[in-house]
Amino acid sequence: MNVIENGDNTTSVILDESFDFESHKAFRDMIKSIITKRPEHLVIDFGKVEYIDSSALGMLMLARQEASTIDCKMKLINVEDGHTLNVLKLVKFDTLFDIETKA
Amino acid sequence: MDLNHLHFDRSVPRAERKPFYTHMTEGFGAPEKSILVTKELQKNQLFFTPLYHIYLIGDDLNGLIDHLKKVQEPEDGTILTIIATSGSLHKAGLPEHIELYLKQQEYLDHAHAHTFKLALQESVMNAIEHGNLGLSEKKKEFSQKSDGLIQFHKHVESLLQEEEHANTRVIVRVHMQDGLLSTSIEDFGEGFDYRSVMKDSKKQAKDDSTAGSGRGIDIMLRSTIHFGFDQGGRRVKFAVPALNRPEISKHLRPISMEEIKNTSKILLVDDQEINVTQMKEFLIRDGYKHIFTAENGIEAVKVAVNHQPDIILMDIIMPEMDGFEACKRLKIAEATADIPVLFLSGLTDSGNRAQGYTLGAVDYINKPIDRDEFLARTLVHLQNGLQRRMMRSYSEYIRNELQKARLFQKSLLPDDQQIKRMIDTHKTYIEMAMISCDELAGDYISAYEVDEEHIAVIMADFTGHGLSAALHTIWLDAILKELQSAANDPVKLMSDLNDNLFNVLAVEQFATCFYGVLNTQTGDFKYISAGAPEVLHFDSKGALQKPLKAAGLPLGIIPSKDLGLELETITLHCCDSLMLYSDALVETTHRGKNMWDKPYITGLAERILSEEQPLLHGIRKAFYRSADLPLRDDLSLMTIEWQPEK
Repeated sequence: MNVIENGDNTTSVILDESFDFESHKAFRDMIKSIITKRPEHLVIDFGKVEYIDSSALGMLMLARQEASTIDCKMKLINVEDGHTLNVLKLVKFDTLFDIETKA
Repeated sequence: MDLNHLHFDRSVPRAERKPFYTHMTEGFGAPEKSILVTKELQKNQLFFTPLYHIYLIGDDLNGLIDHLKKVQEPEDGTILTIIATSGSLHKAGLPEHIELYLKQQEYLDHAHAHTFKLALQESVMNAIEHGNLGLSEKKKEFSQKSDGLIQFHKHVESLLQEEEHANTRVIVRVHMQDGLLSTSIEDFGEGFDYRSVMKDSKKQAKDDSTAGSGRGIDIMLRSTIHFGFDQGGRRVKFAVPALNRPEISKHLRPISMEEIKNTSKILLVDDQEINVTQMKEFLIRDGYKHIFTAENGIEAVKVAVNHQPDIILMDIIMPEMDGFEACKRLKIAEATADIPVLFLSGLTDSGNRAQGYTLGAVDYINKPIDRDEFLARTLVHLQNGLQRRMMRSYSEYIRNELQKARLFQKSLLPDDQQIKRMIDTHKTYIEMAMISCDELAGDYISAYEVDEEHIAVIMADFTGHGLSAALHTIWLDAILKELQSAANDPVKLMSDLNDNLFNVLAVEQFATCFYGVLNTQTGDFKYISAGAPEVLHFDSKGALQKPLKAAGLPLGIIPSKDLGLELETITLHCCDSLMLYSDALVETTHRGKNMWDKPYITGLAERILSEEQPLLHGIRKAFYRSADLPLRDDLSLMTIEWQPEK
């Protein structure tokens, strides 16, 4: 997992291949530290993600909650139009998050 | 299964514990040790873990939470806090449970356990009868009659049938203070003039009179320590001596240098007596107590097997058998493989050293021996060895605990009798399977009879893994039992479930859930899916039917009023099958990479059904044949076959 702070008050989190239970602690800590810097936009980049599980959905909810406390807009980008998007749509996360699929 | 043995280690640092009921616990101190006991408590449902909250939630969860927020009594040494309703407490045999638990956790010895239990029983009865029900005067009236006490107890029982009485609270707290097991029992009644009663009792106690005050106060005054009331008589406190035990877990605790020196066994191996004598003297002067010696490799191996030293300090060049060979033999034998070996050597070339490490030695000490270096290295390796052993015993312990939790989770599945009833009465064949992953997970499946015409099926999956996810499933089971009256109304049931979850789960925790009710007379199946994997529907020939609607926000994310739960209905025909499964069926890799996608699963199911094989069995068999084990997540499967005409 990498964090990139763009100049325009946007912070991007580039997820690894597996976004699952194993990444829970690292993701949580990362989001908490990002939020202390109060970016206006938080971008979660799914470009590399091949596998997500239910913990990943929990982590997204956590990020959403943290972002909402500082009025930061959150977006999921480069979501693969297959397994990952299906999982997100199954739990209707497309109604909670701004999702952009991979071009 | 005896659930009272289920307990978890309290040495896990707080920061590493999973968030669970965190907001219930503000200002509450040691919240991880609180237990809620409410309505419909079955005796075997109660089990304790100090690491997490255990909860058997009643119908008034919000009330309980509000109440918890108001409770102010953080106690550092809190062992457990139990918030119970009068009704459940009266039935539950809670004092026995608590006594047993405290004994198992080595807080309480047998000598004081009986006193403790009696005092607790007495106090709990008082809290219900005199406190919450306010029956002091009534009891006096009853006791005038010949079978008055029996009548009185019947009266109490009948009152507790009424919800307003059954749901009043009693809080039991046990904490450790100054070597005492202090216990308080608080009711929510009117209180009483305890000062005058206490004065009378103390006087009576002094006079050795047997006359009672009606609250068993005299007995408790005599048998317990620091007995007394506060909160206007609503809370009684007493203490008994606690078992003398270290506060920190026996598995992971700091070890003092002194303890290491007092307990460690050291084996010195050298053919030069003068070397052995010198090392022995260094060690003894430094405080070591148990030192064994050997003259050569053969002897060293024998002594090591017989005495199981904690460390072996061994010369390399020796007659009979040299140090390298001895080390090799020690590492091969299971009994001695874990004992760290340090070589003492004048050989300084790196080839020799490398050979020693290859054979499994942990370090070298140069000859001639420098006293300080010798002692420092010995101590470091003894410490490492001890830590390793403790970690091993700790992980063993945790593994056992998790195994018990897993068994408990599995015990939530419907029993054979329930399944049989669904076949006999409802002509519906339900099969379920739960294939566990390496750790605990948050899957829940169940099916039960709603009434003579309906059965309900549910499959839920909580986010994440581990104990907290598993405990959520136990909690879900308890809530479902409370929501029985809404069982035939999926919208109400799911809304109530959602509100419960929304109120108590941490933000990153929620559950996908499928709930359906089958009318076994008509075949109408009404259901709601909250983000659960698609349920597959097959006809009697095994052909896939129109898919059931699956998408929906999981439970516990937003309040029910915003959830927009939509009831869906399909009609089953004779011998149709439904198949419910958890994510693991589609997310498990088979032979390396491929996962089962929907076409594959439906194809497989169609084939099994067309061959008139049992669906669940066939799927499970095929899954096991190629799935990469261990699983990353639990796999739950349920098949429902409706056969009204068979």
